[in-house]
Amino acid sequence: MVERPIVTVPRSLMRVTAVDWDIDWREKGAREATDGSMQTVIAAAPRWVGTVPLRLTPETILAWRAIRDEARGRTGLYRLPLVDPLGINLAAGHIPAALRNLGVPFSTDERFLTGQGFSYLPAVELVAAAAPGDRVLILRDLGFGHPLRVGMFLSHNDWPIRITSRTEIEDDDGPLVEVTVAPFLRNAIPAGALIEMAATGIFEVTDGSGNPAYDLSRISTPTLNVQEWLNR
Amino acid sequence: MSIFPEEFDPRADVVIVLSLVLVDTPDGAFGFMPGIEGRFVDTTGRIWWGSQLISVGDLQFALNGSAPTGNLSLSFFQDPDAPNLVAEVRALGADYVAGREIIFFEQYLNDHAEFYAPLWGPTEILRRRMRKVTVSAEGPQQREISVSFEGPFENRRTARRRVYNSEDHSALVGASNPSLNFIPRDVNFKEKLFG
Repeated sequence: MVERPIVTVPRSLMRVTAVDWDIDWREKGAREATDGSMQTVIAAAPRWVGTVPLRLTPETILAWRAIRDEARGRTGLYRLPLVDPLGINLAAGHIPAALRNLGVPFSTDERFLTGQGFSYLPAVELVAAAAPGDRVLILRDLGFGHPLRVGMFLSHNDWPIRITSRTEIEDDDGPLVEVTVAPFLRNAIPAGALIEMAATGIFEVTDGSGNPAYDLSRISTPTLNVQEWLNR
Repeated sequence: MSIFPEEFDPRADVVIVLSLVLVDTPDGAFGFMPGIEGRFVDTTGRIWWGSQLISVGDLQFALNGSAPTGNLSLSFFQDPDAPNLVAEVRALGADYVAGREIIFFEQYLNDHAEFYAPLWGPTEILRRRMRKVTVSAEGPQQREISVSFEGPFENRRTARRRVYNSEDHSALVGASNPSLNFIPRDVNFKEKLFG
């Protein structure tokens, strides 16, 4: 079988001009019959789909070419950040700008030789362990300064979910937030795990889209049509 | 009696169902979800792998004297750098699947979340016997491996080739039996009607 390489797309390349992440519930046959009845048949697990229109400047065009070439068309898989400025604004929050721009240093306040640290990934802590199929999570805010909002993305182990409701509850250890998520958890998450607020997912492209062609303006506006990869 | 689990209504406005197929081999039983992608873990913990490369032909039931047949096929492109899958399947030999069972299941679900946490086990709908593996190549790289299967009563689709004489009767009952020596050869019995 052909190996499917997973290519991580850095958040700095995701210069999206439109956001349309959606859940494909895989419904079939929702047509009205002659007697007025409608039956919907679902024969596959739901998945995330999206169209990612990008606006790339000259430097990012070159970087995007490298990503696209490494992914080898439909063979490879893209590990994409689900960029959603309405859900989470990474430029806001309580974390100093140096941390966001240069990355998080080691505990000794040193960074890597390139001057960059670990990527800045705001997260919340999962208080109680959750199993596949669960829709309710109890989360603890770790003080990154990004509010948990209805409609924002979260992810764990590259399985994205979206918050559909939030309730603040009080625990002996402090305030917690109970959220319900859509569609539901696809993986088991142990208690104490970090749920990323800057969500990522693993996607496959559905066609040959995404070629960063440019003209005299040296600006490229490719569009990537993706659907979530579930065989894992 | 319904084959559906309790509380599952096949006539509901929205029905969620998964097609599953289990292939029994000497290396164990393998579960697949033909035509869709994904990974499904059923209530017993068995993992069913989905692939859009796997397809199943029409499933037939034994009606009106037809012997139900069908096939399950995997179409793929052979990566020149990867091991030759066709050669690997051939190396397993003809008896790898012959005479073994292929079982078709439907998994009924009451909620989207049950795709990852099912409540009911899969419901068996069809049990067939695999006959042979055929391989076909189209162009330089496209390959198809298919398993053909037949119903359990395939030997009944033709006459039994036994006639009413002592020899065949003895073979049928498994012991020498002279009963048919006395079988009437003539059904035109003359009977005196008057005097």
